Amino acid sequence: MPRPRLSTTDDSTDSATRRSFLAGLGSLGTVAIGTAVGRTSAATDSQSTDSQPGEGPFTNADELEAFVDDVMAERIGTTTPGATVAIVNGDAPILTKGYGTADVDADVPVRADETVFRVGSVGKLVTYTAVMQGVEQGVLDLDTDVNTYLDDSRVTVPDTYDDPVTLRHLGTHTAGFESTLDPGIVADPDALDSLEALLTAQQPSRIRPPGELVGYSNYGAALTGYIVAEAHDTTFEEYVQAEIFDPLGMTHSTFAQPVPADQPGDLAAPHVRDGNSFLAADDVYLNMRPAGSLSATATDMAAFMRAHLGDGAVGETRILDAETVETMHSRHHVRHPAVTNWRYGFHEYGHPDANLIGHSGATVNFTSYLLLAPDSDIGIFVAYNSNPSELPKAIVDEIVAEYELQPAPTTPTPTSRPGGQERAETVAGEYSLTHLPQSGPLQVVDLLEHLTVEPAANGRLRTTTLDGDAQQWVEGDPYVYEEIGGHGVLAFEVTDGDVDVLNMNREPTGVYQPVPFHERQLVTGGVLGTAVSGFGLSLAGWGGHSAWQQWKQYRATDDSDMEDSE
Amino acid sequence: MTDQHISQQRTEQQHEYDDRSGFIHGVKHRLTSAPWLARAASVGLSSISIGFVVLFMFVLETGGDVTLFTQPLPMQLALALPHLIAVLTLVTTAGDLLAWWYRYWSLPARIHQTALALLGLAFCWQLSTLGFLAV
Repeated sequence: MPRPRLSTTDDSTDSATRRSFLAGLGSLGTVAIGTAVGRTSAATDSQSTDSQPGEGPFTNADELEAFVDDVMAERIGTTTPGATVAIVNGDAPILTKGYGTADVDADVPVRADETVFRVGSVGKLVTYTAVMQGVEQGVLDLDTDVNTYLDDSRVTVPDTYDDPVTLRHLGTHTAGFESTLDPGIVADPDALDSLEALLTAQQPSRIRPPGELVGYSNYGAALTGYIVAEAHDTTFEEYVQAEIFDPLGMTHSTFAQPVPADQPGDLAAPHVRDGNSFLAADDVYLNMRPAGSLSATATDMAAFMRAHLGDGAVGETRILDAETVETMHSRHHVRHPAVTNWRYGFHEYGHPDANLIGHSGATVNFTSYLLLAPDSDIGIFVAYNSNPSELPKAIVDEIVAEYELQPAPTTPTPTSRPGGQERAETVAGEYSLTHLPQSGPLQVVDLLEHLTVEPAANGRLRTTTLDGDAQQWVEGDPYVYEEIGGHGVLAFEVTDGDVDVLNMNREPTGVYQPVPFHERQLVTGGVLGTAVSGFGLSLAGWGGHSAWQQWKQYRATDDSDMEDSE
Repeated sequence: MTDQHISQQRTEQQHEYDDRSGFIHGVKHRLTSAPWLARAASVGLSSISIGFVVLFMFVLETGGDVTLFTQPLPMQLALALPHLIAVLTLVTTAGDLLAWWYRYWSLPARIHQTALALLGLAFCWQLSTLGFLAV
C-alpha cells in the first residue's frame, strides 16, 4: 500500500536535518547538527530480553535497563517513533529491547527479536568481517592490488596513480575515490542492478593517491563486498548468509532488497517528521548493497557484537580466529595521533586512548550506531526507524558517559609554547570535508558543510558552521586544539605556514582541507544572491516599462478617438 | 451564391492570408534581428535563472532530500536548466558585444544588457563551482 509521501518544512531544525542527512549519507552517520525537539516521557511498550550481568561496568542489569529506559523515554515519540537497542557484555546479551512503534500506521510495537531495522552503514562491518575471513583463509590479502581479484570481472580500478588500491585502503576509506555521497539509492526495487554492472557504470574518479587521506566511500565498501563475492565465486548476499548470518544464528538478517517475504521478522517502517508527529514513508533501496543494505534485529546485532567481543566466536561457533579479530581491531590507518583513527572497517570513537571502536549507519529514513569497547567487552547497538537531527549516537554517548567507558572530559591546559596567536592566525580559514562530493549537483552539500576557523583571544580558536554551531578550542600542543568540556580535538598539519589538512576527532570519516577563496560560502552566497536579485529586478523593470508603454499607448488612442468623435 | 458573396469571401481570405503572412514575416524579421535576439536571450536568462532556483528549492521542499538521489522528473527538469542558462548567458554576452559595436538601443539599455551579461557569467561561474554544470 502506498504510504504518504514525505514532506519537509523550512524551519531551522529541518534545515539542520537536511544537512546532517546529506552529509550523513556520505559518511552514513556523522555528528548530528541541530537540536533535539522537546522531550516528553514515553511509555516503552516493548518486551525486553535480559540475561545475567557479566563482569565489567554493567554489574546490575536492572539498573542498566532502567537507565536505558529513561534515556529512550526522552526520545520516543519526539525524536523517533521507534527504536531498538542491544547491549552485550562479553559473550552475553545483557539487554535487548524495543521501544516505541515499528509502524505508526499499524501501531505495532518494536520487538528486539522480531522487528527488523535497516541499519545502513553499520552493515559495512559485516562486509569487512567477511574480508577478514578471506584473509584468514588465505583467499584475500590486505595489501594486494584489488584488480588481482577482478580478473574475471568487467570491474577494474584504473591505474591513475603508481600505487594500487588494496583491501586495506578500502577498509580504511583511504583508496582515494571521489565521493559521490549517493550509495545508489533507488525508489523502485526493479531499478536495482547487479553489483558488477553498478560498480562498472558508477565508478568514481580516483582523486587522491591511496593511503594518504581518509575520504569515506560507499563505492569502496561496495567494491569490497564484490571482491569478497568474486574471491569465493558466489554472490555477496549468499556468502554473508552462509558464512556469517547462519553460523551466528542471525536468522532475521539479510542484505537482500526488498526484504524477502519469507524472511523471519517484520521490517519496521521508515518514518519522517510531520509537525509534532511522524508519518510512515516509502522505503528506498541501495544499489551499493555491501555498503548499507543490511536489515537486522537488535538480537541479531547482539550476536554479531558478541562474535567480535568473543575473539571471533559465539559459544561453540567461530567465524574468525582470535588473531584475526585482533588484527581487525588494530589500527590500519592513522590520520593523526591526537584524533580518532581507523581500525579495519571500524573507526575509533571519543577519546583517542579509550580504545572504543564503532560505526554509524543511515539510510534515508533509518539511522543506527554500533559501538564496541573491546577492553571492557561491551557492545552497544541502537537503531531508529527515522532520521532525526539527533542521531542514535546520542544514546550511545549517554551510556558511555554514564558507565564511564572513556575518561571524563578535562579542562584543556593551554600550551606554554609561545606564538599561539600566530599559529591561530595561520590555521584560520574555511575548510571542506574530503568525503563530500567535489563534482555534480550534490556538491552543494559540500558548500553547506564548510567549517570556518577563526582566531580567538589568547591563542584560542573558534569554529562555526553555517547552521550556527560554534565552539571554542584551546591549544594543547602546537597546532593541536582541544574542546572545552568535551573530547573534541582539532589537529592541523601545517607545512611552511600553510595548512595541508585539519583532522577533527568527531569526523573520522574524512579530513578537512582548506577551501580556495572563490569557493567560500560568502563568495558563493554573495554571487548567487546578487545574480538572482539582479535578474529579478530586470524582469520587474521590463514588466513595469512594458506596462507603462501600453498605458501610454492606450491613453494616446483614447485621446485620438475622443478627438475624432468631436 | 451571389457574386457579392464570392467577392466578400475572397476579401476575407485575402485578409486572413495577409494576417498570416504578416505574422510569419514578423517572426522571420525578429528571428533574424540581432537586437531582438539579444534582448530575448537576456529576458530568457533572467526568467530561467529565477525559475531554476524556484524549481530546485520547490522540488527539495516538497519531495525531500532524497530527490537529489532518486531524481524524479521535476528534479531532472531542474537540473537540466543550468545548461540552458549557460547557453543563454553566451547568447546574451554575444548580443551585448554586438550592441556596443553596432550601437543597438539607448545607452542605458546597453548598460542594462551588459549588467545582465555579467550577472549571467557570475551565475554560471557559481553554478559550475557547485557542480550544476557538470557534463
